[in-house]
Amino acid sequence: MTTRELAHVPDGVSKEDFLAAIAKFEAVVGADNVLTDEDRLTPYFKTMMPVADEEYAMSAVLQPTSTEQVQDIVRICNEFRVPVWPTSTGRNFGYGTYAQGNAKGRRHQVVIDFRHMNRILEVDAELGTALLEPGVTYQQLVDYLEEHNIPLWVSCPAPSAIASPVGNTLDRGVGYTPYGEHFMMQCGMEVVLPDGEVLRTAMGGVEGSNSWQVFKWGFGPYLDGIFTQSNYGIVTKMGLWLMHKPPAYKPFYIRFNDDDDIAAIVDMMRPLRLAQIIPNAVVFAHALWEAPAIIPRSKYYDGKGAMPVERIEAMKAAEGIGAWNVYAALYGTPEQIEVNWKIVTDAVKALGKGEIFTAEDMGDKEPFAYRAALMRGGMSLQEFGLYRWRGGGGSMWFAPVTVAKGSETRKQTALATRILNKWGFDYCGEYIVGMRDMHHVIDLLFDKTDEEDTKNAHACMSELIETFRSEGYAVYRTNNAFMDQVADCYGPVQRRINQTLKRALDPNGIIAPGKSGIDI
Amino acid sequence: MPGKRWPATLAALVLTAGMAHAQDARLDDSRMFSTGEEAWNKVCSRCHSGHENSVGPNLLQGSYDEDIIRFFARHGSGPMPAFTAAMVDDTTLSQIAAYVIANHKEPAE
Ligand SMILES: Cc1cc2nc3c(=O)[nH]c(=O)nc-3n(C[C@H](O)[C@H](O)[C@H](O)COP(=O)(O)OP(=O)(O)OC[C@H]3O[C@@H](n4cnc5c(N)ncnc54)[C@H](O)[C@@H]3O)c2cc1C
Ligand code: HEC
Repeated sequence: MTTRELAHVPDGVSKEDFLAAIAKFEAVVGADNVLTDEDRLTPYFKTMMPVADEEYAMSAVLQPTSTEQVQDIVRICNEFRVPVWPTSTGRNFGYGTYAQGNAKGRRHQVVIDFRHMNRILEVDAELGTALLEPGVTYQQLVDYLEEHNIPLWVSCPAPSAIASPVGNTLDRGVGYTPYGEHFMMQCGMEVVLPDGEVLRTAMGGVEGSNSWQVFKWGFGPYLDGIFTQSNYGIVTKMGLWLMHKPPAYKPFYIRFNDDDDIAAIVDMMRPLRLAQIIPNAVVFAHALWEAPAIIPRSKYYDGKGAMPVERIEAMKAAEGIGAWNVYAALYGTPEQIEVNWKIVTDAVKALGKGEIFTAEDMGDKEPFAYRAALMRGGMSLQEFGLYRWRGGGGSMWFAPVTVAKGSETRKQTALATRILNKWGFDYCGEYIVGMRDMHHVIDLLFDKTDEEDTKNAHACMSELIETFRSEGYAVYRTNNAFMDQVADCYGPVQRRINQTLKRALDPNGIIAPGKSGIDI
Repeated sequence: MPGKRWPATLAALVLTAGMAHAQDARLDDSRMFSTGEEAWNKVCSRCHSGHENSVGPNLLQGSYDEDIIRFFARHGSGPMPAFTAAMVDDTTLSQIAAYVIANHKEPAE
C-alpha cells in the first residue's frame, strides 16, 4: 500500500479504496507518473471559471504512454469505482482548462494527462492525413511537417502552439483555415472503452485496411461522433485531414465602422463562403474583441462596470479599429486568387461600405499579423491579450450557434450586449463562419480576484444561457460549471438517450461523470 | 485488435525528444524542447518578446531569477497560463531562466 499524502479523494470513493487504486495505478504507469502531491499538481489547478478552483481540483493526475496502460487504468477504475477524466493537453482555457467534474458529488476525479503520449504515428504527405496520439501539440505537428519538408498545413485554434489537435477536436473546437471545422476533418479513432476493450472506428476495424484515415463512415452506424464532447470512452489515437499548402495565400481585412453593419456583412459574405470563393472560417470580430487582443482596457477606461459607449468610440477612432473587423483569406494558384480577389472587392464595392486591406497594407501590425497566421495554421498566442483586457484572470466562453443571416446576428449581438452590460461586463464577441452556421463566440471576461465580479459573472452566464434558450438559441460547448444547464437546453429526450448510452457503455459511470451533463 | 503493432518505418517517425519508456522513468523529466532557448521561442517569447502589443511584459528587460521564473511558470498569473512539468520540464525552466538572464537588455530610454 502506498503512503501518499492526499489533498483530495474523489467524491463517493473511500480513502482506503482510493489508496488501493493508486497503488495499482503506480504498478501500471510507475509511481513517479501518478501525481498527487500539491507541488506537482499546482499547475493543473488554475481555471478561469467563476468558481473556487478547489471545487474542481483533481485528486490525482495519471500520465500513461500507451493504449495498454489506458486499458489497465480503466480496469482499475472499474474495480474501485474511481472516476477518471481524460485530457489531451488540458489547455481548454475558458472551458475548464484541466478541471474535471461538474461539482455536485462528482468532484476530485482522477485526471489523465496525455502530454507524454505524444507520438506522431503517421503522416501521409500525398493524401494529407495524420494519425496522432492525444499528447501531440499543434507546435509539435507543425515542427514535424517543417522538419520533414511536408507541404501540409494544420488548422489550429488561437492557443495553437500549446494546445492539441486531438483535445481540440474532441471538444469540437474550431480553427480559421478552410479546414476550420475540426471535427469535420477528423477521420478514424482508437478508443479505450469503459470496459477496457479497444475500439477502432470505421475502417479501423478491418484487418489490414489502409483506408482508416481516408474514409470516415465504414459500415453500419457511424460512431466517432459519440466520443466527442462525451464520456463514453478515452481516445488514444485520432486520424486527421491536413490541408495541402496552396501555391498562393492572400489574407485580408475589411473594416466596417458602424455596429449595425454586421447584418450587411453577413449577407455579403454568405454567398462568397457558400460558393467557396472564400473557403476559410471567416471571422467578424467586434471592436471589443479586436482591441483586447492588442491593448488593455485601462488605456481608455479604468472605471468599473461595462465600458461606456463614448469611451469605446474614442478608442475606435484613436486606434483605427472598426466596429466590425472582418478577417478572411483566398487560397489557390495566383490566377485563381486574382479572379476571386476581383469577386471579393466587387462585392465590397457593391455594398458601398467597408474598407479593405491586404498584407501589403498591414505589414506585421497586430491584430492582422496573428489573424493572418491563424488563417494558414501558423502558431501565435497573441489572442491571450483578451485576458489582460480587464485583468484578474476570469474568462468563460459563451458561444451560441447562429444562422448565417444578417438579421440573426443583429438580434444575438443586441441580446448578449444587453445582458452583459447589465451585469457590468463588456460584449467581447466575434462570429466565426462555418458554412450555413456561425459560432457566435463571446468572451465573458471578469476579475476572478474580485468576489463580486466573480459572483456576477456566474449569474450573467446563467442568464445568458436562459435568455438565449427562450429565443431558441443554445451554445455549442461550455465549461464544467454550466454543463448541466446547457444540456437542459437541448431537451429531455437528448439527455435521456445520452444517459441510456452511458449506462450501456459505462455501467459503473467511471469515465468523466458529468461531462456534457451526462452520467449514469 | 489492440495488439496490432506499428510497422518499423512508422516507429521511425516518432517525434518525442528522447523519451525513455522504462516503466518507472519519471516522465516529467523528459525533454519536450531540446533547449531552453527553443522553449523560450516556442512558448514564452510569444507573450514576452516585448513587441509593441505583447500580451505580457518584456522579460528580457526585467530582472528575474530562476525562482521567480519557476513560480510564474508553475502558477500562471492572470492572462498567463500555468505550465505543468509535462509541458515545460524543470531542466528546461532552468535553461529558460539562464537564457532570460543572459539576454538581459536595459530598456532603451
Ligand atoms: C485566447 C484564447 C483563444 C481561444 N480560441 C479558440 C479557438 O479559436 N477555437 C477553439 O476551439 N478553442 C479556442 N480556445 C479554447 C481552448 O483553449 C482550445 O479549444 C484548446 O484547443 C483546448 O485545449 P486542448 O487542446 O488542450 O484540449 P483538452 O483540454 O486536452 O481537451 C478538451 C476536452 O476534451 C476531452 N478530451 C480531451 N482528450 C480526450 C481524450 N483523449 N479522450 C476523451 N476525451 C478527451 C475532455 O473532456 C477535455 O476536457 C481559446 C482559448 C483562449 C485562451
Ligand atoms: C499567453 C501568454 C503568456 C505566455 C505563453 C507566457 N506568459 Fe508569462 N506572463 C504573461 C502575462 C500576461 C504576465 C503578466 C501577469 C499578470 O499581469 O498577472 C506574465 C508574467 C510573467 C512573469 C512575471 C513578470 C513580472 O514582471 O511580473 C514571469 C517571470 C513570466 N511571466 C514567465 C514566463 C515564462 C518563463 C513563460 C514560458 C514558460 C511564460 N511566462 C509564458 C503571459 C504569458
